Amino acid sequence: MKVKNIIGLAVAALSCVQFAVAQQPAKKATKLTAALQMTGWNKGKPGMMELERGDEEGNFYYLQEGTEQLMQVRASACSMFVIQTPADMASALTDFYGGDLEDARKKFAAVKKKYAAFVGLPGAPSTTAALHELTCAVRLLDVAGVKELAASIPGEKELIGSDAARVAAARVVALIDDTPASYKPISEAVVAAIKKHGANMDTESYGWMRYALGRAAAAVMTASKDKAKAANAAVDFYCQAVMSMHGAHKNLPADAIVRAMTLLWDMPGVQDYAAKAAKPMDKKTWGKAPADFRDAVALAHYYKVLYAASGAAANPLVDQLDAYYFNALEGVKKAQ
Amino acid sequence: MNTYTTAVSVMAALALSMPVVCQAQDPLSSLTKVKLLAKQGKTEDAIKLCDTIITKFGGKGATAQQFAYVLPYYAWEKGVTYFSAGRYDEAYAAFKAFKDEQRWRDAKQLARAKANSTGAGSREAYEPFFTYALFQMGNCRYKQGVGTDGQNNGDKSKFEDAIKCFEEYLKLIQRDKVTKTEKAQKMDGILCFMLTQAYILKENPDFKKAASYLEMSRKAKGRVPDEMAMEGLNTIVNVAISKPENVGWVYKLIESSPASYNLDPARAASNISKFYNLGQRAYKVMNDALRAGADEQAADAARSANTLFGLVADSPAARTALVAQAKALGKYKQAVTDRGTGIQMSAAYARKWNTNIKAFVDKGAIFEGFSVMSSSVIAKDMGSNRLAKAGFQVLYDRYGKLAQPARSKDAQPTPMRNNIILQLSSLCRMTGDEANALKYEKMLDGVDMGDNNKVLAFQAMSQAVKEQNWEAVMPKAQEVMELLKEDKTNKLYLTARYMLVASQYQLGDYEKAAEAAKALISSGEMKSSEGKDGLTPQEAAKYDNDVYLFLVDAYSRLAHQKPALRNDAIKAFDEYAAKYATTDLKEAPQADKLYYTAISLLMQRANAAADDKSAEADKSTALKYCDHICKNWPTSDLYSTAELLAGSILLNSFDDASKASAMPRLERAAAAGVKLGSKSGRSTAANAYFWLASYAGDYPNEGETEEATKARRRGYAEAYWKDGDAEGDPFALPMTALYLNMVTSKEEYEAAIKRAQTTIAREANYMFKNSKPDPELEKTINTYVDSYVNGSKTYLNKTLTLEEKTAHFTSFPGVDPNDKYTNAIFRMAQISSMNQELVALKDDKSAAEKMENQIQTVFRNMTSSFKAADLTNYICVEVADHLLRYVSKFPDPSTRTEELGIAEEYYQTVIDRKKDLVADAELGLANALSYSKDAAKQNKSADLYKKVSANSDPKVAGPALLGLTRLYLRTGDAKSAIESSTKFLRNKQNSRNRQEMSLMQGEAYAKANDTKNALIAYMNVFNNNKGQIRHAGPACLAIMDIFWKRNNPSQGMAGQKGGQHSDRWMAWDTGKNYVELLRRNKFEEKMTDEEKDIFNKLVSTVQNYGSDPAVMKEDKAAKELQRNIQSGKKK
Repeated sequence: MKVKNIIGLAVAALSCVQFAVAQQPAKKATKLTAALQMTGWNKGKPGMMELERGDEEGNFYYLQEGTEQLMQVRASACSMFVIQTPADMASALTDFYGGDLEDARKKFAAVKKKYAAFVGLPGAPSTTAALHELTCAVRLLDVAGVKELAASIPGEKELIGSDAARVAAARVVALIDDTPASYKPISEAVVAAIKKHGANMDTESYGWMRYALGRAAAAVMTASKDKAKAANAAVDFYCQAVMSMHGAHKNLPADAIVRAMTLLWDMPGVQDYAAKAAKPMDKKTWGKAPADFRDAVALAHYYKVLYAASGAAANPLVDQLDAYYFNALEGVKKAQ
Repeated sequence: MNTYTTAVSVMAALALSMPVVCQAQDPLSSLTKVKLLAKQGKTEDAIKLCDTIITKFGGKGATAQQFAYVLPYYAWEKGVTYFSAGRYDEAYAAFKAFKDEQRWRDAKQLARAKANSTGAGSREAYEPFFTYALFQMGNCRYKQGVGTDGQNNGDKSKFEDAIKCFEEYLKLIQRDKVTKTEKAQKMDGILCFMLTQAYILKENPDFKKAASYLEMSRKAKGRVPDEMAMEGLNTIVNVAISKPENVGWVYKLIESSPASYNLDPARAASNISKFYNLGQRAYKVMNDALRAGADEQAADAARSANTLFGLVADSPAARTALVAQAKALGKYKQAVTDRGTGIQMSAAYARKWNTNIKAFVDKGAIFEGFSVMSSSVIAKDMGSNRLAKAGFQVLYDRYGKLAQPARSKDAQPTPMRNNIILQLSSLCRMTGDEANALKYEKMLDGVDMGDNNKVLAFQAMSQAVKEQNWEAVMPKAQEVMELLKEDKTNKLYLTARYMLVASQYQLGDYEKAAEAAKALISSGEMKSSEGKDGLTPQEAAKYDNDVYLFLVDAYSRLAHQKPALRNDAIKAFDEYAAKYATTDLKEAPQADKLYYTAISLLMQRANAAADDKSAEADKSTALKYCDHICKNWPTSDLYSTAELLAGSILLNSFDDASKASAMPRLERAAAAGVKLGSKSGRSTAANAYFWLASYAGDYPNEGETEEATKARRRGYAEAYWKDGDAEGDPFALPMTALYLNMVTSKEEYEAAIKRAQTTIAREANYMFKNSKPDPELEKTINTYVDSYVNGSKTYLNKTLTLEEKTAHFTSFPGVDPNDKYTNAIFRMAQISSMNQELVALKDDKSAAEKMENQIQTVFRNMTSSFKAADLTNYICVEVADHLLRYVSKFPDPSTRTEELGIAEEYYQTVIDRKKDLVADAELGLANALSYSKDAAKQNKSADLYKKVSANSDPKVAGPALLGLTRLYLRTGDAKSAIESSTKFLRNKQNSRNRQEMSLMQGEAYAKANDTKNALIAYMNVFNNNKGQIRHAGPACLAIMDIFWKRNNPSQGMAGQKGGQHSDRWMAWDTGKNYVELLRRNKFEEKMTDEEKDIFNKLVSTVQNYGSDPAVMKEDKAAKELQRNIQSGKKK
């Protein structure tokens, strides 16, 4: 495919390897700009270069000024190579960091497609957009979407560290199908992801996996003889998902809290107790209330204070249980 | 944020627009000199030169006019020089003077300046200074407000002026009233940003204004970089959080500026610790607010803290982004600005923060781990142990290296692993996850956790308490006490000490519990103290009260074996009552229970008292305590019981007024019991209603008709069935019998029979199910049988045939056919009923014979239906006992050989099985054999009695001695009867039947001709039980008989010194006085048939003795003497 010419080789011999290739760029093709510095270009000074495309080998292509010759360079050979964020990607990122995940996701999808020709280059917008699109899908709890997106990440082999771990975690989420049979593959995938990515996995990705385990454990409960035990396992996974996020990214934790709260509400004796309990409770009754009841109420309160107030959906059970809430710290002396 | 740098850079940018002045002309070259002087710090020289130039060329001469266009630069430079020297007031004045000076606005000079200037901005020359002076003025004030970096010497009042200038300048920019040079600088962003800070830092911060300028700073043409906006936000949050009332607003600010905060991980890396620290401050506000009960503020702070912790970038994500950035920038040392986002990237930054974060992580300072921990603590404070547990589980699973950063350079970070395990174990326990709690606790076995060792030991003790594993509690409590022995006011120590008493009490080791409780009380350690580690006054009072309760109750239980301890219990209560004189249950939380226990103790002591006086004193105190409970704690659970006890004490008093006063108390007891709505409350109400129904007839309300009283009694009975009746209630059967006896009409008969049938069946089944027979069942069935048979005749006009009765009693509705005990009782009741009919047929020999045969048929059916081999030991004993009670009603029980034979068989079966109830069966067999006139059987009976009387259980040993004494008396062995009765009476454990035994002892002494001891025995019974005719009556008769038979003559003149009445007069006088006493106290009206028989016998004996001439004569002489003595006194 690539025909090297003498000039190109001569330049390459000086320092940075550049190849001129026969193919001419298609007219109106999508281009990217990179800030780069390499020997043999721009007198070795840093500058902005318009890239024609990239390839899976990590090469980029540009038109040589004057000759209009398409040149091929290995990005790793540059002393600096920074792809400039295209405006549509910048817009998507603004939405993403601003919390507008729906719009961001659409824009990332468009970016992923538009800059597909540059996949393989470090910092390729398609790869970054694919990763962010996948993140949006998980945060929006679109399991079907996650399944589809996680199946193919353009330029995935370029992903390192927490980015690679994030894809692995999303693939665990993709296994959610709310059947008892899902527990085994999900738990195996979790073990494998932790084994492979370990400390590189960020807390959000870890939280995703705990959430998936929660969904699987809740599904197991439906077919379990010891429903309370299975429900407890699910509640713990959901709560671990919430805590892993340490306050970030509200949507998935909010869902996990509601699911955990509902499971606790369905625990033996909780609803019977609630039917007899006064609202709100006092110190005496709160202290003697069953642990599952108190935790259901506390989760409802936690949701109402930290999530509903941030725009999470209202939930009738949350309101019902929050009415029982008792602040057990009130009047407690402070540590000195 | 270095605003100074920003401002200077803007000024430098404007300076580029300065004209390049010809160096050959002095006023022009001097400007360079001014700048040099200023740079050298020679401010005065620079200013002086400016003033010299302005003065020298400020005239109207030709030379002056030639250089007049240069002068504004000198005027401006004065401001710049002062500013550079930090002389802001002078700089402010110079900039203001420049702005206000009309000379500089001369169009001709400005045109010349433009014409003579070169370079950027040359077309505007010094024109931008006219407007830009406003910014500089504001900047002077701003600098004064901020003060010297790091010295906190700013004058906050200056911000108001700064804001005024900045806002005025901003308006000019927004209205496009500034020069092109200024426009090109895009100052609006930085200006908004400086306004943001000025509004926050001023004396009275205006956060809303600050937030709006911050948002503008990001949207303006010259938008500030995100990093700067984030810094601005950090500043706002940092300042705002210092005032708790701002937390809600802080949260809204963060939420409304997400893009300023949610940076990509590479840029967020440098803010990791800042966000975490701000989150911690917000958390502190939340914790304080929760403790203060300020729920809204707590919620706001929780949201702020949670959001701030959420902004802490994860180290893996940050490092991944930083590594990629460093790699992309390679060796390029300059910052690269991304065209799309405007983000500046630098390899140095990327490498520096990658190294920093790695160093943090290596030392265990993993901020996302800290954030997870803080989030867990927030969740716990908000009541969710489950979330907190999950958080610590995540920490345990993922952040094994987490460590508290070292406080000094030389110190080492403190690993947090064990603390995480400790917290996790504790939270597992709180959420009921016992298995994991134990697993994690075990990990800490042998680990020196420092101060947490105490917590661990306490936790282990608490777990044992929770599991009610009291054996395990004690060593753990001792461990806690040992660890805290130097801190005896610590609540962990005091709780452990309390638990030591509580666990011994729970284990039933009342001696040790009492000992420990007494020691704890004596130590005086159970006190509240200041500080978080001490007990609150309420906690201390709760423990102290509990300990007193344990002590008093432990003594009370031990008093069953050692009656003397009852006094110790009452003494301990007295000590408690003196210590807690308050009636506030918050200060004395167990006061009601302790008073109640004291009542119980006093009543027990009164019942066992040797003399009436002390018994009455105890009863009086008990009644006083009942009143104390009723008066002070009407909402206590014990109120209804206290009223009931008061009613009970009053009902047992001697005078009718007291007895009548019991009625309203019982009514209150019943009402309060019903109100409680609990099982015990219902039980109290049942008891009260039963007594009310039983005694209301004796104590009618004032002016109440008999009919009305009857209706009221019936009302109590109905109330019993509605609000008191319950399976197993001890009054269910007595109330059934009472209800049957209340019947006065057909409707009432049918209702009572129906109620009786269901209640008898229910109670019989309850007893059968629980193997707990109750003698009341037999009494009630007897009443039922009589009522059923007689009522049918009276109210239904129907005489039941034998077949009908047999059919009804052999398959009683609702009674389990396998319940041999109840079915046997029914059969016996039927036989008893038939025997009564038999008595009525004494004049109809044929009918009597027929009835006799029928009775025999029923009896044989019964004994064939209930073979001993088919019955349990208990039922065998019960049925046999029942047969004996039946036989005992006949004038000569020895003639009832068939029944006695069957009873013996039942008893023998139990004895032969050699399992349970052997002693009871031996006692029963002895009783059965004792009826026999066969000497062999009597001997066997005596042997069995002797054997059983040696049993350590007073419940069988006492009755055995009673039966043995009775047998000896029947067989004429007075000596042995004296021995056995003495043995019985000397044993204080034999609390029942003591009067009966005393009577038998008297009889034995009398038969042995030991008149003196006989009189002592009888006198004891007579003097101490005058209210109980069934005991005092026979004793009185026996005393009269002994005196009468001894017949000692009178000596001297009775009533005079050395004089004494005759025995016969004494016999007559004793009986006469007793009869008068009973009549005076209207005992006669309330006597049972048995008591009436005794009373009539007394009356007749008194009359008989009184009609004796010798007695009459002696009495007459005695009365005359008495009269003489009286008249002598009058004289």
